[in-house]
Amino acid sequence: MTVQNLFSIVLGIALIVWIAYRQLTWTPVVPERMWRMPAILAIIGVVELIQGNAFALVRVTDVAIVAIELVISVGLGVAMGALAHFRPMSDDSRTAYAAKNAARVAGVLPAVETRNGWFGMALWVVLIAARVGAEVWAHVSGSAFLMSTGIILVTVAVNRGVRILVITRRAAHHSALAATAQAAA
Amino acid sequence: MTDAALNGSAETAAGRTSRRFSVALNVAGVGIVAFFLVRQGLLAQPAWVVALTGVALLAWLLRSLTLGSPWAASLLTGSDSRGPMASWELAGTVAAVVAVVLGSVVAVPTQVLGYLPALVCIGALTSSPRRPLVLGLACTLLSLLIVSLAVLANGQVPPSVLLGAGAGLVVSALVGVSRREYRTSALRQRELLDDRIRLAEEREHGAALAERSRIARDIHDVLAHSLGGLVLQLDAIDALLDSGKTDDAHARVAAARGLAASGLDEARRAVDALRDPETSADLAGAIDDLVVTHRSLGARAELRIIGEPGELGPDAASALRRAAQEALSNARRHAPGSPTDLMLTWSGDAVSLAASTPLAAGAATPSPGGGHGLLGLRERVEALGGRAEWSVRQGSFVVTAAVPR
Repeated sequence: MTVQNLFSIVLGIALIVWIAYRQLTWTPVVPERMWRMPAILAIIGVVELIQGNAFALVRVTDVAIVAIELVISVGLGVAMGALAHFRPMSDDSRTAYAAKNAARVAGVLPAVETRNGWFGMALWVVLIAARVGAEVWAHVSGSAFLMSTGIILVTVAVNRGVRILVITRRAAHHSALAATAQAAA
Repeated sequence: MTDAALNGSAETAAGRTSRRFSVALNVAGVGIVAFFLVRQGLLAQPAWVVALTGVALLAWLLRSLTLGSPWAASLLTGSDSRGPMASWELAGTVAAVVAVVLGSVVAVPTQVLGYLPALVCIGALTSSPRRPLVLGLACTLLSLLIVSLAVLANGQVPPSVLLGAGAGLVVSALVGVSRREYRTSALRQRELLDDRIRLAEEREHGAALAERSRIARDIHDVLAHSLGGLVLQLDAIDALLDSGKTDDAHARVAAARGLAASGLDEARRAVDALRDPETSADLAGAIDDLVVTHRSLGARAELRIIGEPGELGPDAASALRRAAQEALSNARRHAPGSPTDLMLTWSGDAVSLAASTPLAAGAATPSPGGGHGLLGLRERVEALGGRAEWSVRQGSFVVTAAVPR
């Protein structure tokens, strides 16, 4: 087992656990913060792909597999975003958020928070299963490109990104509702 | 039924021309792609490839033709889609989706040429603001999925085919989305313009209503005053003639004539004010005229002016004159014989008129809400930012009206 492999495995497990944890916890809807993780993942993924010289080994079938994986990733991202739950932030959690992020909060506090719940968790497992499927294909056909860490990271980044797109679109509606409810109270 | 009748809002000639041009362009595109497909050797391919390519081209053609339909015009003018238009819309959408699916299936065997119907329809599906964006994006992803599966199934695909298909897909989706943004913003601008026009119309309507109620008030004041007085006079004359007092009746007739003449004068003045509201009135003079008329009807009244008379807007002057008129008219009606004391006060920021008439013995207490005339007076004065009140104070009925200068 090479250091590269070990790194990939540790990174992969950490990512799986972290995202699974995030599916079940309430997080304030702050687009700038939510975009941070997918952006970092995408950058690391692309750098990995370029540095690993993965593109030199690409075959047409590999691209097709990646395309399918990306379609699945986008589809699951849309589903996760569509299934996400929202709730207005309580005053306590807003105060806690403001205290924790005092340096970054520019006067505007998030109105709602979101989480995916067990359904989102199940979709996350489906995404991992799709990745395992691609991995199996890669072993059978001997594709180094498909097995590279960069592809995994880009796939996850795309999934997260699409989910956030859907969530921010829906959250705008929920924020408006929360604001109306607050004004009425 | 013509296109315009279906649309509700008329499509511009330029819009119709560009729509027809786009239909022609699409039909020409179908023909050119079909020609090159045949030249490339489509007919030598397996039967299913020929059939699916043919259906994809037909679906593209059908979608292009729906562009010539009234529905497409409504898409550009932003009017609502119902009835016959909805079925056009549905037919166009279904045809486009069919073209996307079948075009994607034959993309690999036809070396991307058969993929063109799918690409054009993906652009069309994403660009229409009337269809959900999700539909266009889902079709894009579906196409990518189908092409990828076809690549895997074929196994021996030259990279150029995949590159061409991928690049085409990205370009058509991006072009579609950007056209969608443009059309949406154009529609929004049109809606904004419509809103502004509607608002202006409503404001105009409101102004007309306010003007109408002002005119109604003026008519009431002038007519109720002079005609009411006239009725009293004529009743008295009737009674006098019955008892044979023709001399007294003569005097009354003269007074009634005076009242009618002053009513006519009033009406003229009101019409003049309506015609040219800028004409400033001599307030004290006008009230004095009222007092003279009042006296000529056998009643008693006194006008006192306090403070230095100055400039006053025509509306405010007219409101105070009406207040005096209302007070005098009420005094004649409810307290005949009681002297009315009118006090016109000019202060720094307001002009007020107080009219006080002792209640006649045995006369009914005036209703606390006042009659129509008093309510009209209050409306008029409050519209100018002033105040009008009436009450019974120390045995006298007192009406006060104050308007800002």
